Amino acid sequence: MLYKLLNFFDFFRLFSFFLSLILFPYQKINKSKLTFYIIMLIKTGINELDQMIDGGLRTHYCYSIKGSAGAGKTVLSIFLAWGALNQDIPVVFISTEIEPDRIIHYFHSFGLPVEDYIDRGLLVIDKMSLKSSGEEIIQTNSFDLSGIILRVTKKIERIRAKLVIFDSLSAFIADFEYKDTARSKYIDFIKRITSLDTSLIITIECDPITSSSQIDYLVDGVIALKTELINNQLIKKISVPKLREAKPLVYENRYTITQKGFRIFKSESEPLFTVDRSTGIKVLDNLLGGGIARGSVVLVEINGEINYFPFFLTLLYNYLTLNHGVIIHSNVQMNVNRILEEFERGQCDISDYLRDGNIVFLDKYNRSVTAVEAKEIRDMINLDDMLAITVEMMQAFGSDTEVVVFGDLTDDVNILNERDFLKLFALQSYNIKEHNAISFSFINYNAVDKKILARLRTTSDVIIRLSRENYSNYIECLKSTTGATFLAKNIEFKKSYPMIEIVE
Amino acid sequence: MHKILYFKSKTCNWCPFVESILKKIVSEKSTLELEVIDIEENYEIAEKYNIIAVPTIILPNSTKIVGATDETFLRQQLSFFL
Repeated sequence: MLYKLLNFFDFFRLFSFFLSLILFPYQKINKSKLTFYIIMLIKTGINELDQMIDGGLRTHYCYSIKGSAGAGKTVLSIFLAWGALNQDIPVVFISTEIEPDRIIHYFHSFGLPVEDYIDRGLLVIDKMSLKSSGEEIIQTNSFDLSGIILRVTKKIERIRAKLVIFDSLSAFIADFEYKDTARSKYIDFIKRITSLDTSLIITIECDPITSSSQIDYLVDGVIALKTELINNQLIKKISVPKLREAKPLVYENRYTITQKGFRIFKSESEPLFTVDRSTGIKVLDNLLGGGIARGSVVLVEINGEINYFPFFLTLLYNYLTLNHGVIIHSNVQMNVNRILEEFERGQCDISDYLRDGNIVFLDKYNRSVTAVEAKEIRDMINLDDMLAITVEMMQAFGSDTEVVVFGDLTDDVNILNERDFLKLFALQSYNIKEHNAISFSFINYNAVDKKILARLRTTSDVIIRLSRENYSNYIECLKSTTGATFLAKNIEFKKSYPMIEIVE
Repeated sequence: MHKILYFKSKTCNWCPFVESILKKIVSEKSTLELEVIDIEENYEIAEKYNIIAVPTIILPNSTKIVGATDETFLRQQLSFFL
């Protein structure tokens, strides 16, 4: 059974187009901008997985199946192909390491006779890899992947495939000497194949929990397969940490692979994040797929034009009202006097929290003393001391209290050299995760070296960007733990709490 | 006669440069022959030779060169046939 859905946005764009024709009949219209496409939903044949990916696989979408070796990525791919074939949806299965007859044997081992579908022209299985056995290859880094793009495109067109499986990207890239070039050129492959009205599934071998690949940012959905050894028993869990235009699921469901198939058992355990993750800005919580989890390192990038204080104060006040311990690495911008003044202006009383010691200000560079004294103290204190102070303060709040750390990185990046700064940020991030705290680090992205910014982004779990352009303020999310990201949204500042409002 | 197969595509930025070098080398030696194959027009041949990336050169001894190279390197690789 096929479900053809016209994307809501297409309706909106179509409506806008006709409206513009009525209102501005003589206006020149750029026809190239008007692209409408039908999104088709492909049921996977595994009901629980369909529920996890918002009904099924979508054409024009690219999904990655991530997991360690032996997690069952190829097996899941086989079952996804079988699910589509059972609905007479044509499938192209590209293997980068296994010969086609071996893939057919895999299908057979699960009692899935695919020959009939091959004969009927509904399934094409092929092996494509850079290196063939016995072949001598000399490689350089100046190439593109138009060879494989063309070959897969022809196969799709020949059988009008709606589902393309590429198993595995890791093995494909491993054949290249210039892996970074191959990886970046693979983006063209994803763009081309998904533009052909197909759903593309790529499998990636990696630890699905600790590693996030460059490809994660490009795909529309991530299916993570995790294997754990608990009491000498291998436990397999499946989750969907990223899903475009849908609220990501943070639940992990157990799954088994037997001869009967790929079975997913609905989780009986609690979601991964059980604590209150609210940021105090309801719309932001929804956009982030439920808020910001404990153990998250949040990088708040600002463009220098915008006043980030309303955002910072709203977060700060929210965490204080939730009885969290707050540590502020104070500096010229983020100091106690200014914070108190701003809160007074916003009619928020934080005197009780100050009195009870819920807020601690750490001045790493001793701004309160004279410049000469500050330099002497700075020379005496090393990186380890700076880190140790924060850790001691986090411990001082006690194990029952959740801790949130705020800091403006402007001072750190100016005072410390590049190596020390990155080391400080990395170790501080490690401490945040170790203590299950949350850190918010503010940085002016225009005033920092791009290489440093790239390193900060890699270390951070969540990246929120605040910017001001043409007298309007914007917020956007470039990365998050749940995989939920969103494009720039207009924000308005208010005098009272919450001092920031996202206009949808 | 030693045959060199050269696979190119219209989207490849380096292909015209490599093609001009190959044509120059081949024109200097009568024992060498060059077959230029546009993969978009000759998909079956690209399939037969397992072409994944372009430019790809297949030398007479079946060695594959994947990616653009300079003239010196190509002459060095072809020295045996020159």
